[in-house]
Amino acid sequence: MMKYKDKIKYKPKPEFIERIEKLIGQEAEKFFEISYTETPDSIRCNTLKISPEELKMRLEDYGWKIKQPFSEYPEAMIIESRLSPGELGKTKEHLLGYYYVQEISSMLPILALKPRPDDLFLDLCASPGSKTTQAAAMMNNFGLIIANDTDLGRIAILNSNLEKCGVMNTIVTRKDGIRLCETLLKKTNMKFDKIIVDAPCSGEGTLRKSPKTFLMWNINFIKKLSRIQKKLASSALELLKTGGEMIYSTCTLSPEEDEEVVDYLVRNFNIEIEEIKLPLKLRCGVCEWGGQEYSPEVRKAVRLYPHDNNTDGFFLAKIRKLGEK
Amino acid sequence: MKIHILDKTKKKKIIEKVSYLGIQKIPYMLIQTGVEKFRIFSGNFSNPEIMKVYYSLPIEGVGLYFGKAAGEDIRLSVDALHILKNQINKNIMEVNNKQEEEWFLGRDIELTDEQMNLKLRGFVAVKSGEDFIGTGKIHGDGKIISNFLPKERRKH
Repeated sequence: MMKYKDKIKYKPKPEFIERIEKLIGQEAEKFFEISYTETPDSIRCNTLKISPEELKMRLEDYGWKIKQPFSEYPEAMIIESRLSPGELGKTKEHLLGYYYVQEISSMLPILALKPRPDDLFLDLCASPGSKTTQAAAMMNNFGLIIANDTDLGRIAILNSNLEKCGVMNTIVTRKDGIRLCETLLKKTNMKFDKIIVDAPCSGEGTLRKSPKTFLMWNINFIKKLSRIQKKLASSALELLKTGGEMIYSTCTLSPEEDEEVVDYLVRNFNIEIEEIKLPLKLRCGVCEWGGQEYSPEVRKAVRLYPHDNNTDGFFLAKIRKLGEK
Repeated sequence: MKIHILDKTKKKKIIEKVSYLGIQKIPYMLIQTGVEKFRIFSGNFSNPEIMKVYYSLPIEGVGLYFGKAAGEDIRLSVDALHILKNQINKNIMEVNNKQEEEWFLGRDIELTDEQMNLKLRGFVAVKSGEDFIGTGKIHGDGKIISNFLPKERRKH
């Protein structure tokens, strides 16, 4: 069972292995095996600048083999050819913002949320901008997006990506997410049709590109993050219109940061969790963890394990607000 | 970021400053940030609504960088060229594949005899195939286009 432990430089901590085994049983072997391989190169066509058909033709002219895994969302493309290091970021099409390098699992929150051109949209933890630019493209540069992040360095990356993608319908703000929600509520009384809280997390789903996460993994950090995530998601829900929809997502698999947060929202707000249908193998949310039983609503949240679809690991829940508390 | 939303009169003046490319209208809100820089905003938000957010929160960006005033003209950003590409019909310099390579390396481009015969001067929209790849400037002797492509959009 422990053979994967000896394979590489960064080994998972025993407690982490134990937790993954508890979550998926014997599949933990597959989980750790794939964690030491790279994710396939994937991109999202930026329809603010080019159509998927034209982009595909251009990239095929480089000799690249392109697969479009979702028939209903041809923007998502997997490069099946083996590219040299950095090649994906050096094409004219990338420099001109015709595509955005984005992991398939990271495209899912916006696919589930389906922002529309007339929406008032809040992206609370927006940098580096993969989801903001995806939302702007689905909104065809109409409506309004407020894209927020806390750190100046991260804001610079966000702004650079928004420029490159030709995004014009966005206001970028720099503020702690919880404080931003408080300020918007008090001073502007703005309410949003759609919100995404792609929360800062322990990153257990991104081991394939950040193996150092194995080293940094720490249960106390997870518990601390869980408290922050509950506050962030609660603050965001206050800004959601009745009938509005919010995605809570993370790139981690620890239930404290995922289902526990959603359970907290279900117990404290007038909301329902909506079913998510996406063309991938999805698993339902866990309803019991660490001796705690979560609301049955939490089952409607979805988990992606890396070995299910050859992606990163991910969690998302789609929340509809039914009324004020 | 300080922002100033331009009224109709000021917007008209800005349109005159990009008319060298054939641009006759900018169907978006124009926002001045600082003395020389301009941005365009397509969001469904009125001037007072934007200002309300502006006075409530630290704004680090609004809309898309449009360009920078340079003398009588405005030097358009590569992304603004893309947004307004259907209107651009003047002062276009079409470059070949080799020149495009140089351009994306951030180098100035030496013009061919045929390109020099066009006798273009000042700011030009640089086009390669179907793509506008940035704004350049052709100086007095007409032999070279200066490259203004930002570093983050170059091949390193």
